Amino acid sequence: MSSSAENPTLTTEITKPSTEIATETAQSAKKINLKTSDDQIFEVEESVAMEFATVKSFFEDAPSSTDTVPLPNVPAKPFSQVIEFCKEQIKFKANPDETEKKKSNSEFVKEKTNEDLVEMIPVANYLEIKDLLDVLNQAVADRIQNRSVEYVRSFFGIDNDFTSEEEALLREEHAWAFEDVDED
Amino acid sequence: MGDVEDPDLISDLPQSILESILTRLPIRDAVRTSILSSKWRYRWTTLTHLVFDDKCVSDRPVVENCMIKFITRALFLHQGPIHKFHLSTSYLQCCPDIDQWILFLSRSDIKELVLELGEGEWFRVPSCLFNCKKLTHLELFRCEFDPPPTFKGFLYLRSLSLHQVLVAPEAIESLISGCPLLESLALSYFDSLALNIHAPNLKYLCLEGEFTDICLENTPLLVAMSVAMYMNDDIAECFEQSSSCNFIKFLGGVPRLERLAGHIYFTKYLSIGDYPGSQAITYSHLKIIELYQVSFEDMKEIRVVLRLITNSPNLKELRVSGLSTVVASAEALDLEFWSKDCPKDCTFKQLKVVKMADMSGVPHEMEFLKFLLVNSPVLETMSITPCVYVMDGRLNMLVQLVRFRRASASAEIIFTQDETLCVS
Repeated sequence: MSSSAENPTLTTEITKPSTEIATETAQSAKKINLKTSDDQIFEVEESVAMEFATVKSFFEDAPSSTDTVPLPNVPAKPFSQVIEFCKEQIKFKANPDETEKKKSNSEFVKEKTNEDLVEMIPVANYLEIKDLLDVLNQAVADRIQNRSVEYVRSFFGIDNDFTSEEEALLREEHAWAFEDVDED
Repeated sequence: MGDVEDPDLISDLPQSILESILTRLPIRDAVRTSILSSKWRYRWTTLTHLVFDDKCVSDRPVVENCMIKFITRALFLHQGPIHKFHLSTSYLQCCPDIDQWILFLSRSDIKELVLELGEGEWFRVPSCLFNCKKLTHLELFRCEFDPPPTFKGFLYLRSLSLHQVLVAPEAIESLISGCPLLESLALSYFDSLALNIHAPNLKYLCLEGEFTDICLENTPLLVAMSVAMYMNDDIAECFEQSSSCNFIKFLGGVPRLERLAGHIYFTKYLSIGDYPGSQAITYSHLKIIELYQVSFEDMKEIRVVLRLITNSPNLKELRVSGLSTVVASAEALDLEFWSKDCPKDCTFKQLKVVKMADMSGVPHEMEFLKFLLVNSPVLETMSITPCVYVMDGRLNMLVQLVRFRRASASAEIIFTQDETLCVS
């Protein structure tokens, strides 16, 4: 089951972008097929795929490989967002502009839900995309700053395995760090 | 959110990822992650960067005690090396707990230490600070110290900033020369100091304060410096008695200098002593020169400015401001200097930007502008901002400016008037 990652309905509904895609494929570089943990196949331009250190080293080990690269730890949903990020990043590689890059990074983060961000972190970690990890870690830190323990738990989906007595004791021991937390 | 089915994607990630999130949080939030779950219980305690500031506690009557309690507890719970410790707070002044913390840090391989305490009683640096052998970065504000006799220097220190410190002059010099790798030095000192700097790897130098004498004895790699010199009676006296050439002492051994900024009495300071005309030094890397509060009534200061710019063949940008406090006298002595003694065949081959501020339109200033315009073939902009006190002379300045010949056909002259003042 192959699907075009960015826009599965491309051929049926939208006509204008499809011509763009056509010219792009005509001139441009090699594509690489990447298969996510939920069995979706993403056809990604080589330059984008090489942003993923994990994929890059796969090709360094087996240069002539034309197979689909399996990404067993990567689900499709966060992966499509990671691809979106890397496509933007590549533009700045050719034309470095720190201010524009920062702006683009913060735009990227701004429109993502908490869940999106949290789901992307393990993917960025697995694919070893350092720039994205930095952006995500900062975004996550900004969003949980000054929030209650309960908020942070649900933000990350953490299971509280303390008994209520244990938690009460811990809170007492750490009372000095608990002044003025924002309301959830 | 809050569904029980939400999978926990984060807790089992490698410590390096979690550390990178925790380090980006204020320390108070990082400490609170202890209560998230048993996996998080000790996560924050191995962070190697600890930054404490006023946000650790909320402002209230016993805030000082809260702050002390916070830092002491955090340090006690911490495990392993601490590479970076920043404390910037207005709530704390000199107190014995700080000495304890520094003792603790001196045993945890501290590399980067910043201490900025509140106004008030100055902080006396405990001698254990000098046992932090692995320091690479040290920044202290409003403090006094006295290195112990056994102190031999910080062998790994690359960056040293001492803001408003009280130290014996000899101690400062031996501290600087005891840091062989030192690359960046910032010093503000307000107690008539004569300073010899011996720092063979120094690249960046920032000085501010009351200096009677500064000698860059051994700083061959210096790339950028910014100096603000203030005057007091002692210094004025020293200036009068000085016979050696300050220009040579300061700028005689910095062949790689790329950027120079001088504030307040810096140009005056450089003008003191007789410059041996025979030893022309070329600053072939110097690209940006900024000299503020230059007195265009003083021929010696004008000579300093000219000496600097004519010996910097790659100068790209020049910023000069005049002395806005002086009421300009229309008459000037030595005007024939510009036709007789002024360097004749010099061309500023790279000079693109000139910014002149606080101009009062005195004859020497105008001659200086004329000199720049006629000798700068690639000049792109010259902006001129008149001094706010000069109202009547502005038109006269413009009339003169229009007449000056320009070597660069594309030079734009921007005369900036402060609109709010002109309206009145």
